[in-house]
Amino acid sequence: MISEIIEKLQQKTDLSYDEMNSIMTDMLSGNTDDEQNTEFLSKLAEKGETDDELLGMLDKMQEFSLKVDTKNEGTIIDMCGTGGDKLQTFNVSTTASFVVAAAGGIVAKHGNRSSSGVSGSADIFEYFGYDLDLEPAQISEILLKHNICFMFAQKFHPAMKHVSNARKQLRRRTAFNLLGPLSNPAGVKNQLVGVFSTEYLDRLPRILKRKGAENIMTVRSDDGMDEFSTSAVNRVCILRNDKVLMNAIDPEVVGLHKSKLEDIQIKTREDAIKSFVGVLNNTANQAMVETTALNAAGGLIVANIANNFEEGVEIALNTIKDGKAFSLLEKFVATTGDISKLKEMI
Amino acid sequence: MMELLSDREKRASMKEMFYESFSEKKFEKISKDISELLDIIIEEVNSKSGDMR
Repeated sequence: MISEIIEKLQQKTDLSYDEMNSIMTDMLSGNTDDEQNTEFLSKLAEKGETDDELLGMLDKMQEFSLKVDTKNEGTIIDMCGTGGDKLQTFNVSTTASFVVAAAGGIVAKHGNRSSSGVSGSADIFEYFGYDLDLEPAQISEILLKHNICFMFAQKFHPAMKHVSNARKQLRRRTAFNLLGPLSNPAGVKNQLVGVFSTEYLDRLPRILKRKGAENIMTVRSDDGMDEFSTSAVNRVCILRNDKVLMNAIDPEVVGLHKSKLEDIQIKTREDAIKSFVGVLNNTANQAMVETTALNAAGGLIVANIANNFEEGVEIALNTIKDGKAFSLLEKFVATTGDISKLKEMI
Repeated sequence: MMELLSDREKRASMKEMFYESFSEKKFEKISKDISELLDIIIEEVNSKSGDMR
Protein backbone atom coordinates (compact mmCIF):
# COMPACT_ATOMS: atom_id res chain seq x y z
CA MET A 1 0.00 0.00 0.00
CA ILE A 2 2.59 2.60 1.08
CA SER A 3 4.87 1.83 -1.88
CA GLU A 4 2.01 2.63 -4.27
CA ILE A 5 1.34 5.86 -2.41
CA ILE A 6 5.03 6.85 -2.49
CA GLU A 7 5.06 6.14 -6.23
CA LYS A 8 2.05 8.44 -6.66
CA LEU A 9 3.75 11.20 -4.72
CA GLN A 10 6.91 10.72 -6.76
CA GLN A 11 4.80 11.41 -9.85
CA LYS A 12 3.48 14.55 -8.13
CA THR A 13 -0.03 13.12 -7.95
CA ASP A 14 -2.20 14.46 -5.15
CA LEU A 15 -3.70 11.95 -2.72
CA SER A 16 -7.39 11.97 -1.85
CA TYR A 17 -8.50 12.60 1.74
CA ASP A 18 -9.36 8.88 2.06
CA GLU A 19 -6.01 7.72 0.72
CA MET A 20 -4.18 9.96 3.16
CA ASN A 21 -6.42 8.91 6.02
CA SER A 22 -5.77 5.27 5.25
CA ILE A 23 -1.98 5.58 4.92
CA MET A 24 -1.84 7.54 8.17
CA THR A 25 -3.63 4.66 9.92
CA ASP A 26 -0.81 2.38 8.81
CA MET A 27 1.92 4.83 9.77
CA LEU A 28 0.53 5.74 13.19
CA SER A 29 -0.16 2.08 13.99
CA GLY A 30 3.48 1.21 13.36
CA ASN A 31 2.69 -0.87 10.26
CA THR A 32 5.26 0.95 8.14
CA ASP A 33 9.01 1.11 8.71
CA ASP A 34 11.32 4.10 9.15
CA GLU A 35 12.59 3.96 5.59
CA GLN A 36 9.06 4.00 4.17
CA ASN A 37 7.99 6.80 6.49
CA THR A 38 11.03 8.89 5.53
CA GLU A 39 10.39 8.33 1.83
CA PHE A 40 6.70 9.14 2.21
CA LEU A 41 7.24 12.39 4.15
CA SER A 42 10.04 13.47 1.88
CA LYS A 43 8.06 12.91 -1.34
CA LEU A 44 4.99 14.54 0.14
CA ALA A 45 7.00 17.65 1.06
CA GLU A 46 8.63 17.75 -2.37
CA LYS A 47 5.22 17.60 -4.08
CA GLY A 48 3.64 20.07 -1.65
CA GLU A 49 0.67 19.11 0.55
CA THR A 50 -2.89 19.89 -0.54
CA ASP A 51 -5.54 20.95 1.96
CA ASP A 52 -7.26 17.54 1.57
CA GLU A 53 -4.01 15.76 2.35
CA LEU A 54 -3.34 17.91 5.42
CA LEU A 55 -6.88 17.39 6.65
CA GLY A 56 -6.61 13.64 6.13
CA MET A 57 -3.42 13.60 8.21
CA LEU A 58 -4.83 15.89 10.88
CA ASP A 59 -8.03 13.91 11.38
CA LYS A 60 -6.08 10.69 11.82
CA MET A 61 -3.57 12.32 14.19
CA GLN A 62 -6.46 13.48 16.36
CA GLU A 63 -8.15 10.08 16.21
CA PHE A 64 -4.96 8.53 17.62
CA SER A 65 -4.43 11.21 20.30
CA LEU A 66 -5.43 11.43 23.95
CA LYS A 67 -8.09 14.05 24.64
CA VAL A 68 -8.85 16.50 27.42
CA ASP A 69 -12.51 16.77 28.37
CA THR A 70 -12.73 20.40 29.53
CA LYS A 71 -15.12 21.57 32.26
CA ASN A 72 -14.69 25.33 31.93
CA GLU A 73 -17.56 27.52 30.86
CA GLY A 74 -16.59 30.04 28.21
CA THR A 75 -14.40 30.24 25.16
CA ILE A 76 -11.27 28.13 25.39
CA ILE A 77 -8.37 29.11 23.14
CA ASP A 78 -4.90 27.93 22.26
CA MET A 79 -2.06 30.10 21.07
CA CYS A 80 1.08 28.60 19.63
CA GLY A 81 3.31 28.71 16.62
CA THR A 82 4.45 26.08 14.19
CA GLY A 83 8.00 26.79 15.33
CA GLY A 84 10.83 26.60 12.88
CA ASP A 85 11.48 30.32 12.50
CA LYS A 86 15.03 29.71 13.83
CA LEU A 87 15.20 33.24 15.21
CA GLN A 88 15.94 32.13 18.80
CA THR A 89 13.41 34.43 20.39
CA PHE A 90 12.10 33.99 23.95
CA ASN A 91 8.96 31.89 24.52
CA VAL A 92 6.49 34.47 23.32
CA SER A 93 3.31 32.39 23.07
CA THR A 94 3.83 30.68 26.44
CA THR A 95 4.32 34.05 28.13
CA ALA A 96 1.37 35.60 26.28
CA SER A 97 -0.82 32.64 27.26
CA PHE A 98 -0.40 33.54 30.95
CA VAL A 99 -1.29 37.15 30.20
CA VAL A 100 -4.44 36.13 28.34
CA ALA A 101 -5.49 33.77 31.15
CA ALA A 102 -4.81 36.45 33.77
CA ALA A 103 -6.93 38.89 31.74
CA GLY A 104 -9.94 36.57 31.83
CA GLY A 105 -9.28 34.19 28.94
CA ILE A 106 -9.09 30.40 29.14
CA VAL A 107 -6.00 28.89 27.53
CA ALA A 108 -5.51 25.18 26.88
CA LYS A 109 -1.90 25.42 25.77
CA HIS A 110 -0.54 22.65 23.59
CA GLY A 111 3.18 22.50 23.01
CA ASN A 112 6.41 20.63 22.79
CA ARG A 113 10.09 20.85 23.45
CA SER A 114 12.00 23.01 21.05
CA SER A 115 13.42 21.48 17.91
CA SER A 116 14.83 24.61 16.27
CA GLY A 117 14.79 27.19 19.06
CA VAL A 118 16.56 27.47 22.42
CA SER A 119 13.60 26.45 24.54
CA GLY A 120 10.07 25.22 23.87
CA SER A 121 6.95 25.71 25.96
CA ALA A 122 7.39 22.24 27.49
CA ASP A 123 10.85 23.22 28.74
CA ILE A 124 9.41 26.24 30.55
CA PHE A 125 6.60 24.33 32.24
CA GLU A 126 8.96 21.50 33.16
CA TYR A 127 11.48 23.89 34.72
CA PHE A 128 8.87 25.03 37.21
CA GLY A 129 8.06 21.44 38.15
CA TYR A 130 4.96 20.88 36.01
CA ASP A 131 4.56 17.15 35.36
CA LEU A 132 4.57 16.72 31.58
CA ASP A 133 3.15 13.23 32.06
CA LEU A 134 -0.11 14.39 33.67
CA GLU A 135 -3.23 12.50 32.62
CA PRO A 136 -6.04 14.26 30.70
CA ALA A 137 -8.39 14.30 33.72
CA GLN A 138 -5.74 16.01 35.88
CA ILE A 139 -5.13 18.60 33.19
CA SER A 140 -8.84 19.28 32.93
CA GLU A 141 -8.84 20.09 36.68
CA ILE A 142 -5.85 22.41 36.31
CA LEU A 143 -7.60 24.28 33.50
CA LEU A 144 -10.74 24.62 35.59
CA LYS A 145 -8.78 25.98 38.55
CA HIS A 146 -6.35 28.33 36.81
CA ASN A 147 -7.87 29.01 33.37
CA ILE A 148 -4.59 27.78 31.90
CA CYS A 149 -3.08 24.35 31.45
CA PHE A 150 -0.35 22.70 29.43
CA MET A 151 -0.70 19.61 27.26
CA PHE A 152 2.64 18.09 26.27
CA ALA A 153 2.47 17.00 22.64
CA GLN A 154 4.60 13.90 23.17
CA LYS A 155 2.24 12.70 25.91
CA PHE A 156 -0.95 13.42 23.98
CA HIS A 157 0.18 12.07 20.62
CA PRO A 158 1.81 8.75 21.56
CA ALA A 159 1.33 7.28 18.06
CA MET A 160 3.63 9.95 16.67
CA LYS A 161 6.56 7.93 18.07
CA HIS A 162 6.18 5.70 14.98
CA VAL A 163 7.19 8.58 12.70
CA SER A 164 9.71 10.30 14.96
CA ASN A 165 12.79 8.53 13.49
CA ALA A 166 11.73 9.51 9.98
CA ARG A 167 11.22 13.12 11.04
CA LYS A 168 14.63 13.24 12.74
CA GLN A 169 16.31 11.65 9.73
CA LEU A 170 14.76 14.13 7.32
CA ARG A 171 15.98 17.13 9.33
CA ARG A 172 13.56 19.37 7.50
CA ARG A 173 10.04 20.58 8.02
CA THR A 174 7.35 18.04 7.26
CA ALA A 175 3.58 18.33 7.26
CA PHE A 176 3.65 17.27 10.92
CA ASN A 177 5.33 20.56 11.93
CA LEU A 178 2.31 22.34 10.55
CA LEU A 179 -0.23 19.94 12.00
CA GLY A 180 1.11 19.97 15.57
CA PRO A 181 -0.48 23.30 16.51
CA LEU A 182 -3.73 22.28 14.83
CA SER A 183 -4.14 19.07 16.80
CA ASN A 184 -5.04 20.56 20.19
CA PRO A 185 -6.06 17.71 22.53
CA ALA A 186 -8.77 19.86 24.16
CA GLY A 187 -10.40 20.34 20.76
CA VAL A 188 -10.34 24.14 20.95
CA LYS A 189 -12.22 25.96 18.20
CA ASN A 190 -10.59 29.34 18.81
CA GLN A 191 -6.92 29.64 18.07
CA LEU A 192 -4.08 32.03 17.39
CA VAL A 193 -1.55 30.18 15.23
CA GLY A 194 1.85 31.53 14.23
CA VAL A 195 3.13 30.10 10.96
CA PHE A 196 6.61 29.80 9.47
CA SER A 197 5.60 30.73 5.94
CA THR A 198 3.17 33.20 4.39
CA GLU A 199 1.82 30.36 2.25
CA TYR A 200 0.04 28.91 5.25
CA LEU A 201 -1.43 32.15 6.57
CA ASP A 202 -4.68 31.76 4.65
CA ARG A 203 -4.52 27.99 4.19
CA LEU A 204 -4.66 27.09 7.88
CA PRO A 205 -7.88 29.00 8.60
CA ARG A 206 -9.47 27.26 5.58
CA ILE A 207 -8.39 23.84 6.84
CA LEU A 208 -9.57 24.58 10.39
CA LYS A 209 -12.86 25.94 9.06
CA ARG A 210 -13.54 22.50 7.58
CA LYS A 211 -13.07 21.12 11.10
CA GLY A 212 -15.66 23.46 12.58
CA ALA A 213 -13.36 26.20 13.90
CA GLU A 214 -14.92 29.44 15.16
CA ASN A 215 -12.31 32.18 15.65
CA ILE A 216 -9.00 31.53 13.97
CA MET A 217 -6.18 34.02 13.56
CA THR A 218 -2.89 33.20 11.83
CA VAL A 219 0.16 35.43 11.89
CA ARG A 220 3.61 35.76 10.43
CA SER A 221 5.81 38.79 10.80
CA ASP A 222 7.76 40.32 7.94
CA ASP A 223 10.98 39.72 9.88
CA GLY A 224 10.29 36.01 9.83
CA MET A 225 8.75 35.29 13.24
CA ASP A 226 5.98 32.75 13.64
CA GLU A 227 4.52 35.18 16.19
CA PHE A 228 3.48 38.82 16.25
CA SER A 229 6.58 40.98 16.17
CA THR A 230 7.08 44.56 17.32
CA SER A 231 10.09 44.92 15.04
CA ALA A 232 8.19 44.50 11.76
CA VAL A 233 4.77 44.58 10.15
CA ASN A 234 2.70 41.47 10.81
CA ARG A 235 0.65 39.64 8.19
CA VAL A 236 -2.55 38.43 9.78
CA CYS A 237 -5.44 36.28 8.53
CA ILE A 238 -8.74 35.70 10.28
CA LEU A 239 -11.68 33.45 9.64
CA ARG A 240 -14.87 35.48 9.48
CA ASN A 241 -18.27 34.27 8.22
CA ASP A 242 -16.63 31.41 6.33
CA LYS A 243 -14.24 33.82 4.60
CA VAL A 244 -10.53 34.21 5.21
CA LEU A 245 -9.68 37.88 5.51
CA MET A 246 -6.25 39.49 5.62
CA ASN A 247 -4.61 42.54 7.13
CA ALA A 248 -1.21 43.95 7.96
CA ILE A 249 -0.72 45.04 11.56
CA ASP A 250 1.94 47.63 12.25
CA PRO A 251 2.96 47.56 15.94
CA GLU A 252 3.38 51.36 16.06
CA VAL A 253 -0.17 51.90 14.80
CA VAL A 254 -1.56 49.93 17.74
CA GLY A 255 0.38 52.02 20.25
CA LEU A 256 3.60 50.07 20.67
CA HIS A 257 7.25 51.00 20.22
CA LYS A 258 9.17 49.66 17.28
CA SER A 259 11.82 47.30 18.60
CA LYS A 260 14.81 45.41 17.27
CA LEU A 261 14.70 41.67 16.84
CA GLU A 262 17.87 41.24 18.93
CA ASP A 263 16.06 42.72 21.94
CA ILE A 264 13.89 39.61 22.18
CA GLN A 265 16.47 37.00 21.17
CA ILE A 266 17.96 34.64 23.73
CA LYS A 267 20.95 32.32 23.82
CA THR A 268 20.34 29.81 26.60
CA ARG A 269 17.54 28.00 28.40
CA GLU A 270 18.33 30.12 31.43
CA ASP A 271 17.67 33.23 29.33
CA ALA A 272 14.35 31.70 28.28
CA ILE A 273 13.23 31.21 31.90
CA LYS A 274 14.41 34.70 32.91
CA SER A 275 12.59 36.33 29.98
CA PHE A 276 9.37 34.43 30.70
CA VAL A 277 9.34 35.46 34.38
CA GLY A 278 10.69 38.93 33.60
CA VAL A 279 7.81 39.76 31.29
CA LEU A 280 5.19 38.44 33.68
CA ASN A 281 6.58 40.47 36.61
CA ASN A 282 7.25 43.44 34.32
CA THR A 283 11.02 43.55 34.78
CA ALA A 284 11.96 42.43 31.26
CA ASN A 285 12.93 44.92 28.57
CA GLN A 286 10.26 46.95 26.77
CA ALA A 287 10.56 44.92 23.56
CA MET A 288 9.82 41.64 25.34
CA VAL A 289 6.91 43.09 27.31
CA GLU A 290 5.37 44.72 24.25
CA THR A 291 5.90 41.68 22.01
CA THR A 292 4.08 39.62 24.62
CA ALA A 293 1.31 42.24 24.82
CA LEU A 294 0.79 42.24 21.06
CA ASN A 295 0.58 38.45 20.96
CA ALA A 296 -1.73 38.43 23.98
CA ALA A 297 -3.89 40.98 22.14
CA GLY A 298 -4.28 38.48 19.30
CA GLY A 299 -5.28 35.84 21.84
CA LEU A 300 -7.74 38.20 23.53
CA ILE A 301 -9.41 38.94 20.19
CA VAL A 302 -9.69 35.23 19.40
CA ALA A 303 -11.11 34.71 22.92
CA ASN A 304 -13.78 37.38 22.27
CA ILE A 305 -12.40 39.54 25.11
CA ALA A 306 -10.85 42.35 23.06
CA ASN A 307 -12.50 43.94 20.05
CA ASN A 308 -9.35 45.07 18.30
CA PHE A 309 -5.58 45.18 18.69
CA GLU A 310 -5.49 48.58 20.41
CA GLU A 311 -7.88 47.36 23.09
CA GLY A 312 -6.13 44.00 23.36
CA VAL A 313 -2.72 45.61 23.81
CA GLU A 314 -4.09 47.93 26.51
CA ILE A 315 -5.70 45.04 28.42
CA ALA A 316 -2.52 42.95 28.12
CA LEU A 317 -0.18 45.73 29.28
CA ASN A 318 -2.44 46.54 32.24
CA THR A 319 -2.62 42.86 33.17
CA ILE A 320 1.18 42.76 33.32
CA LYS A 321 1.59 46.14 35.09
CA ASP A 322 -1.13 45.41 37.66
CA GLY A 323 0.67 42.22 38.69
CA LYS A 324 -2.21 39.96 37.65
CA ALA A 325 -0.12 38.01 35.15
CA PHE A 326 2.62 37.26 37.68
CA SER A 327 0.09 36.47 40.40
CA LEU A 328 -1.46 33.84 38.13
CA LEU A 329 1.99 32.34 37.50
CA GLU A 330 2.67 32.17 41.26
CA LYS A 331 -0.62 30.41 41.97
CA PHE A 332 -0.17 28.09 39.00
CA VAL A 333 3.36 27.04 40.00
CA ALA A 334 2.39 26.72 43.68
CA THR A 335 -0.20 24.06 42.84
CA THR A 336 1.26 22.37 39.77
CA GLY A 337 4.98 22.54 40.41
CA ASP A 338 7.79 23.75 42.64
CA ILE A 339 7.25 27.30 43.92
CA SER A 340 10.84 27.50 45.22
CA LYS A 341 12.00 27.53 41.58
CA LEU A 342 10.06 30.72 41.03
CA LYS A 343 10.93 32.30 44.39
CA GLU A 344 14.66 31.88 43.82
CA MET A 345 14.32 34.11 40.76
CA ILE A 346 12.70 37.12 42.42
CA MET B 1 -30.17 47.99 31.45
CA MET B 2 -30.10 50.76 28.83
CA GLU B 3 -26.50 51.37 29.82
CA LEU B 4 -25.63 47.67 29.38
CA LEU B 5 -27.31 47.51 25.99
CA SER B 6 -25.42 50.57 24.90
CA ASP B 7 -22.11 49.04 26.01
CA ARG B 8 -22.93 45.87 24.14
CA GLU B 9 -23.80 47.82 21.01
CA LYS B 10 -20.60 49.82 21.32
CA ARG B 11 -18.56 46.64 21.58
CA ALA B 12 -20.33 45.10 18.59
CA SER B 13 -19.63 48.20 16.56
CA MET B 14 -15.95 48.17 17.55
CA LYS B 15 -15.67 44.51 16.54
CA GLU B 16 -17.40 45.22 13.24
CA MET B 17 -14.94 48.03 12.53
CA PHE B 18 -12.11 45.64 13.35
CA TYR B 19 -13.35 43.09 10.82
CA GLU B 20 -13.89 45.82 8.22
CA SER B 21 -10.19 46.65 8.39
CA PHE B 22 -9.52 43.17 6.93
CA SER B 23 -10.01 42.32 3.27
CA GLU B 24 -9.99 39.31 0.96
CA LYS B 25 -7.02 40.71 -0.94
CA LYS B 26 -4.08 38.29 -1.12
CA PHE B 27 -0.72 39.21 0.37
CA GLU B 28 2.07 39.87 -2.04
CA LYS B 29 5.04 37.54 -1.80
CA ILE B 30 7.32 38.76 0.95
CA SER B 31 10.85 38.84 -0.38
CA LYS B 32 12.52 38.88 3.01
CA ASP B 33 11.76 35.39 4.19
CA ILE B 34 14.43 34.79 6.82
CA SER B 35 13.48 31.21 7.69
CA GLU B 36 13.53 30.10 4.05
CA LEU B 37 16.83 31.91 3.59
CA LEU B 38 18.26 30.15 6.65
CA ASP B 39 17.20 26.79 5.22
CA ILE B 40 19.17 27.52 2.07
CA ILE B 41 22.22 28.64 4.06
CA ILE B 42 22.10 25.55 6.29
CA GLU B 43 21.75 23.34 3.23
CA GLU B 44 24.77 25.00 1.59
CA VAL B 45 26.90 24.72 4.73
CA ASN B 46 25.95 21.05 5.14
CA SER B 47 26.74 20.22 1.55
CA LYS B 48 30.10 22.00 1.76
CA SER B 49 31.00 20.19 4.97
CA GLY B 50 29.93 16.85 3.48
CA ASP B 51 27.30 16.47 6.17
CA MET B 52 24.62 14.02 5.07
CA ARG B 53 21.16 15.43 5.47
